[in-house]
Amino acid sequence: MRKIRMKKKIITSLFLLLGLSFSSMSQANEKDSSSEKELALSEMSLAIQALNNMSGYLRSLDRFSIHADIYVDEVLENGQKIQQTKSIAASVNPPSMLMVQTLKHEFYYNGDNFTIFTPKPEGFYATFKTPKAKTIGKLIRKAKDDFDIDIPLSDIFLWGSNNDNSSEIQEATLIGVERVNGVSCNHFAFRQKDIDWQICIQRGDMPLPLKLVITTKLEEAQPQYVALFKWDTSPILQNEQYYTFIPDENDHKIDFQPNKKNK
Amino acid sequence: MTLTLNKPLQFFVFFLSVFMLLALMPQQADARRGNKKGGGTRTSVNRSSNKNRNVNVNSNKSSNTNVNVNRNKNTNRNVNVDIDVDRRGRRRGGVWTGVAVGVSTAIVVGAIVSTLPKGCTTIIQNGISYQQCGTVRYQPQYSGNNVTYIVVK
Repeated sequence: MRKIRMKKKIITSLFLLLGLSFSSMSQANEKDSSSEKELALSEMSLAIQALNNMSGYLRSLDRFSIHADIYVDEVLENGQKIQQTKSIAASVNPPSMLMVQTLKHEFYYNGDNFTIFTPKPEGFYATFKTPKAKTIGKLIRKAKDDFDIDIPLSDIFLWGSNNDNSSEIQEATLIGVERVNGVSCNHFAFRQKDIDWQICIQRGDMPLPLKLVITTKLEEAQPQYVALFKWDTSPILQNEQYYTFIPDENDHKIDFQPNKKNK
Repeated sequence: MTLTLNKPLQFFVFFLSVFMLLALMPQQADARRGNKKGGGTRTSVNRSSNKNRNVNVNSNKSSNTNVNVNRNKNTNRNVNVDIDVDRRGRRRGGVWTGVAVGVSTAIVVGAIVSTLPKGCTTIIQNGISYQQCGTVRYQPQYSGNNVTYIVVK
């Protein structure tokens, strides 16, 4: 009888021990997950803060010129992914002067008129007036809404403006320190509904974006847009004429196709 | 152990499975088509437009037009316009003849193309620039960032 009782006691104590250890383990897990959550939250706020810091710095620049090397995926009908290389140069004199050059286009904005120009062999240009919009951010929005014109490197001008979409960020992580064109930068990764994107922000007192990667999640092939930026924050000051389009005798003024979306 | 069902239940299960199949099939087809169409690669984090999401989807498409392949798509769209006219013509005439074929190859006023045939000359009338290609006159215009040509004559 005693032996049996002893056995019973041992078994119940074993079960108790097991139960205790399980409960403590689960508690530890809870602690881990909550601290992980806290860590993720603090990391997210850190990343957002870094992004806001960069945006604020961008908007504080009194003039700058930027050279961007762009690598952009295009997915063909057969699913083949093609990476195209583009080069964009922009000269900016905020709040309302902008000149952007790409391979096929030139964009001029002097605060009053915006002109898109397609050089030779076409030699076409079209102009619209911007009576109300006196900032580059507003110009970008008007060009898109009224004429379906995409002004390249728009993020550079929209971060820190009213059209900043940083509220759409769902997750943010700090990846680590990296180097772009020999310059140290903090690499952050962000997740949004339709896109994942990454940015490398220069370390130190000039928090400029050095690299931007956008992954389109809506596409099955997940094509990417990669931009590498080279900055000059004290370029030669250009006068208004530099930002005004002056047509050549062989250039022809044409119209914008009415934007169907506005109808 | 085997599961035995009475006859009404068997029928019910059979119809349910057929229904499920039918319900699922078109969705799959749509998904596949959707992948092929594609919206293009996003090139900015911040949406420059404050309008609804549909506008943004369109904006992606317009970024896509930089690729020649997609430009060809635009041309195809214009061919479709021609076919529509052709159909209308056929309905009016009621006979499928060589005349109808002639209509289908003719370029219709209002059609938009992204590339011009060879051998066009620039003419300026009342300060407006046109491209004269044989008997057809095109007026260039910006469709988004790209130049397209609308047939005016």
